[in-house]
Order: sequence, then C-alpha cells, then structure tokens
Amino acid sequence: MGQYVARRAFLSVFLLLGVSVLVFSIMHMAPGDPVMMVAGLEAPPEVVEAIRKEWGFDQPIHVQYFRWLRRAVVLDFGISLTTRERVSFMILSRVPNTLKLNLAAYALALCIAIPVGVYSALRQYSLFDHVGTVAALLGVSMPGFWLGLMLMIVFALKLHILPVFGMGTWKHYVLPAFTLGAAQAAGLMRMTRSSVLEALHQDYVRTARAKGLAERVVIYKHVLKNAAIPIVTMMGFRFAYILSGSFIVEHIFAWPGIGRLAINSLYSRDYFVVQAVVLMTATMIVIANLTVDIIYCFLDPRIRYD
Amino acid sequence: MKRATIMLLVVTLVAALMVAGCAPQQEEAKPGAEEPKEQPKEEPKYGGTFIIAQYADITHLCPFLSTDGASNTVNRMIHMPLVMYRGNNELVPILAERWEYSDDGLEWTFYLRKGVKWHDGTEVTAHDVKYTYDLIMDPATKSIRRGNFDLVDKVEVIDDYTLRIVTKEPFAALLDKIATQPIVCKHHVEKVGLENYNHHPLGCGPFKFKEWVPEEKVVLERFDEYFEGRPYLDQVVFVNIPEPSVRLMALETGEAHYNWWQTPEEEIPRLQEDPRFTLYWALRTDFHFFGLNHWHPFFKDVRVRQAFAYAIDKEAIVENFVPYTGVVAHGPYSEAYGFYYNPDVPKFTYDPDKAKELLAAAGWADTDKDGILDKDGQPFKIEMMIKQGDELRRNIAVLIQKWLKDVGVEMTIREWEWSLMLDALTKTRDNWDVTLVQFGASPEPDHHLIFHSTGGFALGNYSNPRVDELLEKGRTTLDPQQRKVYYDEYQKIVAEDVAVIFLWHSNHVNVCSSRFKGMKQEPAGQLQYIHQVWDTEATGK
Repeated sequence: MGQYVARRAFLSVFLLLGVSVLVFSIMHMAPGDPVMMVAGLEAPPEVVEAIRKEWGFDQPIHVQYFRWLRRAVVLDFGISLTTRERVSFMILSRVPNTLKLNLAAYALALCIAIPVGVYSALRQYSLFDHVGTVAALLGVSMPGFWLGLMLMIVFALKLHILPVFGMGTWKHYVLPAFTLGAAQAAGLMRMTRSSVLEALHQDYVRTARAKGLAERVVIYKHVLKNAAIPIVTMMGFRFAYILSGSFIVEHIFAWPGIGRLAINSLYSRDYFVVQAVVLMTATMIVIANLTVDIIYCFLDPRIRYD
Repeated sequence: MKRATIMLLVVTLVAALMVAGCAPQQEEAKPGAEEPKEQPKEEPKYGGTFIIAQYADITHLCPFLSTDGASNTVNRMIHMPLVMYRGNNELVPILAERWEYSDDGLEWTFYLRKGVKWHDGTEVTAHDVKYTYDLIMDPATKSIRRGNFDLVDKVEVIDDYTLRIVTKEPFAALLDKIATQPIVCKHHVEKVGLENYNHHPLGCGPFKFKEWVPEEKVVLERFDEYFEGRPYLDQVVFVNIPEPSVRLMALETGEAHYNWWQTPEEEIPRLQEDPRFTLYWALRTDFHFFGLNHWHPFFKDVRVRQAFAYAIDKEAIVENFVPYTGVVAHGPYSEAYGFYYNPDVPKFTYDPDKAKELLAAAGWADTDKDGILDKDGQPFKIEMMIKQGDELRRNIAVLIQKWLKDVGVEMTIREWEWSLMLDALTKTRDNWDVTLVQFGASPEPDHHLIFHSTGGFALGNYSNPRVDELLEKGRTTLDPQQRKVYYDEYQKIVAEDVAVIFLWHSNHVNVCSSRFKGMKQEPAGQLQYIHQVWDTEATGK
C-alpha cells in the first residue's frame, strides 16, 4: 500500500512537469507580444525594451522556462505584467473567494443529488423518478452562463429577493452557487441513482431481504455502502475542480475569485498569472486523482493496483 | 398519462425560464444626443454613495503607471492634472490657474492655484508637479506615458507656485499631454515608494482613496477640502461587472447607479423611456474606419479608393449596427473637436454607379465576364482583416463584402488574433489588404501618430507630403487660429484623398440612475464633475 502511494506520488511529479512544459509552451507559442499588449501602442521603444528585459522576455525560451520553473517550485510565480504585484499574492488573495463559492455549490449539489438519486432509485419509474430525470437532464444541458442570467432575471430583477452580483452576505451565494451546483448535482444524481439501482439488484441484497432484515437496514447497510464507490469517485473528481470549475460563473456574477483573475489575465496576456493559475489547477487535479485512488483502496480491499 | 404530466412539467419549466428572459419589445425610440429628462430645480443634498459599474478591475492606481481605462477613471477622481478637458473638450485650468508661453514657443510658464490641498492636508506646490513629470521622463520608471514628454527638455521650479516647462521645439500638444497626466504628491511617493503606491495612493482630487478589494470594488470617500468645493457625495464605489447585461441588471435593481461602459445598443430605446434612468451622451473624438493598405498596388490610385468610399453605405452601417452610439463620419474629426472641427470636408455618400465609373476610369473591367473586375490579368480580389471574435465588425464586414461584390470586387474576410493584427498594422504592415478598426484619439487635433508618413501607427501606410507638412506645422504652431488653418486643410485632404474610409464616430452613452443629479451633458464626459453630483435621497449634511 505504502509502495503504491509512493509510486503514484512519484509519477505525479513527472505528470506535473509535463503539464508545466505544456502550459509554458502554449502561452509562448500563442501569437502576439505580451509586452506590447501591456505597454500600449504609443509606448516608446526603449520603454518596451526595458519592460521586455525586466520580465526576462529577452532571454531564450528554455532559459525563461527553467527560471520560471525554479521559482514556481517555491510558489514564486513572478510579478504580474499588468498590476506589478506578486502573482502568488494575487492568487492567494482570491483563493478563499473561489473556495467559498465552490464549497457552497459542492455542498448544495451533494444535498440535492444524493437524497434525490437514492429516492429515485428506490422509487424507480415513479413520478418523482421521472421529474428527477428531467431535472437532471435540464441541469446538465443548461449552460452556466444562460442559467445564471435566467436566475438573475427571475430572482433579482423580477422578485427582488437576491442580489445580481458580488459577494458579502449569504444572499450573494445563492444564485452563483445554484448555477454552479446545478450541473454537478445533475451528474451526481444520475450516478447515485444508477449505482443504487445496480446494488439493489445484487444477490447479497436479495439474501439480506430473504434473511428478514428490515428494509431500512438493507438499504443503509448493504445497498448504500456498496453503491458508494462510484459516487465517491465522482465526488472526488468534482472536488478536483473546486478551484477551477467556476470561471464562467465567476465572470457572470462578478465573483472576485480565481476564475475572474484567469479570464482577465488571458485578455491582458498576463503570462505569469495565467501560467500560475493553470499549473495550480493541474496540481489540484493530480492531487485529487491521487487521493481518490488511495481512498479506493480503503473502501474496497479487493482493489489492488500492483 | 404519466408521460403527458412529465411533458407538461418540462414545457412549463422551460417556458417559464424563456418568458422570464425575454423582455417585451419596445417601440423604436429616437436616437441621439437629446438632453436628459427635464429635472425640477432642487437644492443639492449632501451624503449618499454613488456606485459606478465598471467593466474590469483596476490594475494600477499610480496615474502614470496605469494603462487601462478602468484604472484611469478611478485615478482621475483621486488625482488632478494641471489642466483638464471639460465642456465641449475645452482645456480648462485645474491645478494651474493660468499659463503662458514664450515668443519662441519653447518655454511654458504655469501659475499654480494657491491653497490646493493634498489629501493629507499639505499644500500642492510646483515641486510636486516637477517631481511627477521628472518621474515620468525617467526611463527607470518605465512609464508608458514617457512618450508624451519626448519633446520636453526640462521642468524647472521658479517658486512654490510657478513652474516652467522647456521644450526641445515648439510643442502645441503639450497642454493635451499634461491634461491626461494627473500629479502625484512628492513627499508621499517618497515615503511609500512607487512599488507600494498601488494600495496607498494620495492625491488632491474630490475623493480620497479608502479601500481596494481586488476583483471586487474600489471605495473612495469625499475630500472635504477639495479646492472646487466639498463634494456632495459621501462615497464613490467602483464595482466591476464584466458582463454588460449584468451591469444593466445591477442598475435596474439599484445595486449600481452608473454604467460607465458598453451599454448594449438594443437596450438603449428601453432605457430612454424608463424614468428611473437618465442617459448621458458624449460624442467621442475617435473614428471607426475601413482601412486600405496604401502599399497594396490596387489602392495606389485615388480613384480606386474613392470608388470604395462610394461603394460602402456608411449611413446604412450606422443605421443598422450603431443607431444610438454612432454618428456618421466624413472626416477624422468629430464635432467633439469643437473649434478644430471642419464640417466642410468632401462627403462620399453611397453611390454604386459612381463607384463603378471610377473603377472603370482606373482601368478595371470585367474582361472574362466572371463578375469580378480585372486589370492586367489580375482579378480584383482582396482580403479583409478583422479582429477575432469582434461580432460587430464581422457583421459589418459581411455587408461590405456584398456592396463590394456589387461593384465587381471580391473580398474575403479573415479573423485575426488581436495582437497579430496590431503587429500587422504597426510592424509588418504589408501582410494585409483592407481592415475594419477604430482609432481612439484625444481631443488634441495632432494626428501625427496616424496620418503622418512617419507616425508610429501610420494608418494603412498612408503617405502624403502635404499632409505631413500640415501635421508638422500644426504640432509646432502654438497660435490656435493658425493651427486651425492647418488642420482645416488637413481634414479636407485626408477625406478627399481617402486616406481611410471614415465610417462613424462613437457617441458614448452612460446610463445613470435618475436619483442622482448634477451631471452635465458634455462631450468631455460626466465624471469630471463628480464633485457636483448629488443624491436626491441623501439625508446627510
């Protein structure tokens, strides 16, 4: 077990190195000159050159890469081209906002998806199940930006009960968290329903019922426990996106998080910020994957990777 | 039965969301710059918070390091320049009470207003002004405004309230350059350092800095000792909402009071009719144009350029795409240039027959009967370069494509990544044929940058010795009457010579909650009068 974890962790480092090369190359291969975008058209050539030199864009690309990587390892992502602030500071100051929003959305998705998914499976083909299926279909199909705007129109513009943008009170969380959580809940609900259904048709459930166990005990002790593995997997993957899955929603609701920072930085070609956000996101996903794999081993002793 | 119930539920849910999202169609409202709704005379009240919705977060609060419009708007409430554009883009004294220049035009003397206070209570002096300009001119500062001071030789302090700027040659645009350059406080910058200035700005404007929460808001509070009088508002808060439609919703719910940028065109008629809002129009000194690459062999003949000008229906473009926020352009200056605007320039109105005549006169004919003109065996095929993702210009390009096809020219459209397009326009310069772009200019009539053959952003590589001469004379002549003579001729020539095809000038619209009064309907904009804005619902003293 320990060996397995160590090997996976070791491989993850190489994976992240690959990601870093990719991120760095894509940003540098993209057409356009970030210095000109920052300096503006009317900037005198010597100012443009001074900016280029200050940020190291005059160096060969491999030199730039290794310099960036060396700093990134110690979480020093350089200075922002637009604000001239430390990128790590800019990211860290926005991480709590993104975390709050995503955790709220995540919690909302879980609170809706698990009970509805389980109940739909237990009452298969009932009206509740059909409504749940349609709701899940809508949740998955509706683009976040559209749903967000529609919710704003209904709850802010027409009913005047929730704010349109920003953060501060609990009310500010409702619309963006619901917009973000809707798609997550939909997928998770369908997964929960099918997992529970599959477990319900297993021999051990029939045996448990034949033994005369109460239906509640059968559901809680046998069905839900066995149905949990795919649900936990999916929850783990969703968690990996907790810092990166809300770009559009943050943009729509003017939420001051990582997503907005990334989008603004892309527009202004703030290389160092974009690189840092993408690398940080990739690291989160790699860590989440690793964690899910490890949790698997604990949940189901039959699973072995060696 | 079950299936029918489910279908009914789905249809109801979708319909409810659709209905909620679709505002009723409004009747066509009259476009343009009419006066704001009649306001009864009321006594201004003190107090209240004015929330301005911006499209982006600020990047820098140092007025010579910021590069974006969002930062500049905030900066100009905290810091003040020596002179400022107000009204119909006239330069008015702000920190400088008056100024004069020497006979040879090389020395400008500015007399500063006495008693103007920084936000820390100390007095603004000529030392602060010199310090600011010296910092900008210092290469180590890496200010992108340094180019504005290229022609400045030195800045001298005569006494605490008198400053002399010596230029290398007569430099008529100097006032324009300093109008866009607010002054910083010498002792404060020395104390906090430029690297920390972003979170500790200090100026002498009507509002002082209180707080900046990145990506969320900037809070300013009133400065009681502001030299133009105590502002009525207690606070001005800038929130940034990137989506234009969400900004409008914030206005409608009262979460914001002023939309500073990109009001969706289709929403304007509805907003004009809504008593909750007052629309303020500001005709800009920019122009949107169809650019032709003068290095391209097809466009060396002025008759071809004029034929294109006749083939493109600019009135239809404005009517269909920017009916409220565009004014048809015939020359480089809009009426917002005030004194320097010359209405008497050649006008090319839509006339495809005239376009065909001119092309024929230039030797273009459809010899192979394929519907495309040709000359010396070369078909008249060109490519239009437009900015990637620019929906407005993409639609206009399609319309122009059709009009050009009508006169025998085949035009394809290609979208370019913006930075590549900038490179093509300013550096490589030969890898494009025609384009659709906007040029944003200040109210200073000097267009050296764009229409002088050596200008850094020579639009379409245009080169005309007479235009060069007029622009050079214009920028080195300090007498406004004489400058006007040069610029009148300049406007005529670039229009007649079709340096570019002028399409429209922007008519910027700002939407303000009718609850706030005190703004003026002027081309120079509204926010420079922020100290006079007041909240009708305020209760403070």
